[in-house]
Amino acid sequence: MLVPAPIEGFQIETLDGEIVLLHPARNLIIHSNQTGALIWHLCDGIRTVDEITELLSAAYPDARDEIQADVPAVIQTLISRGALRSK
Amino acid sequence: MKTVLISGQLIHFAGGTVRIRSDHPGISKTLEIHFKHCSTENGPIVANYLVTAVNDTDFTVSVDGSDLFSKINYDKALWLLMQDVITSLNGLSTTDLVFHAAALALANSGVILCGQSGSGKSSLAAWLTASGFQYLTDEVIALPIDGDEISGLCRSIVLKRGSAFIWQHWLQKKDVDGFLQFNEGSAWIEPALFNTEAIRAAAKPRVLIFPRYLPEAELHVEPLTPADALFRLLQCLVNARNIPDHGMSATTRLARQVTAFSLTYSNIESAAEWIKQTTLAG
Repeated sequence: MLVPAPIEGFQIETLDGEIVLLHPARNLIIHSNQTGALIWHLCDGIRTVDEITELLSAAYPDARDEIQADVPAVIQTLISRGALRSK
Repeated sequence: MKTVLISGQLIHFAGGTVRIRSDHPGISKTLEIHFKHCSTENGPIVANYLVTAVNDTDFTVSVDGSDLFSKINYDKALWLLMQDVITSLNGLSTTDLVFHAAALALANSGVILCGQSGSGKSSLAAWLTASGFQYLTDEVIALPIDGDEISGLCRSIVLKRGSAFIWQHWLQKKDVDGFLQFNEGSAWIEPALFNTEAIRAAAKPRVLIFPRYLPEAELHVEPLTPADALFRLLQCLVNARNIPDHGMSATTRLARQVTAFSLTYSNIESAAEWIKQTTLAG
């Protein structure tokens, strides 16, 4: 079961719900929209992808179908960009 | 060859100053003309350059006593010197955030054109200057860590061969001191040739544009969120390693201070007109 965790060393700036992550040592800058920012904040190295999906589905029941599809994809993108790692 | 060492051209930017001396009258005069708007001594001398001429076609550029380039011709000496001076001033600044960007002002509104080489910064800066904007720089801007006004390295506008249509369109005379065309076709153009009231030392930025020149493209504008503007600005920040928190908080302040857009264009006239209307509206 995939447990996404934040990678250490990022400076984080939140603007209007979106985030910009700066990792000086890795020369990495990442921008994520509000959806990605929300998901990124829930990736604490303890919750699984399924648990994050369920948490958001419960909070936004009208968007359950979209959330089921989007959360794994967004997490995969954040992993591929270097913002998250899988435990 | 008779050699006369002049006292040296000072170039100030972002809290630092470099001094350039040359024993070649042509080099000295060219530097005096094309860096005259950034020639105040303000801040420590961070590098001393010396350009020496072995003969009229063989030059050496050294910095602080060490050779940087040797056996280069006149044009190459000027270009490499320009690049290295900018690198020195950018990389050593600890008082200002330095971004790879052009900057202009219209009335009380500063406009930043941020992007890497080839994005069209200098071409747009030249066109806008000729259209009535004031000119801060076509290459790098400085934002004090705790400030909200930008300044620019106010060198001459550097246009590549592909932008020759700009000086052909706007300049009546090219046989003047402020116009220097190189053998490969590019040119250094003193901004006052485009607009006699062009020079501006600092401005409060209101509009931030990330231009992208794309042949055949229709004019396309997209508003950017502050986070997207911050993301793009950080990619143009050249001295992050010198700044506390790598410039994140000061860059965030700038991103919040401006209205930001991405601009894709091929027609410079329509792009410049859009920038003018947006600046006046802002």
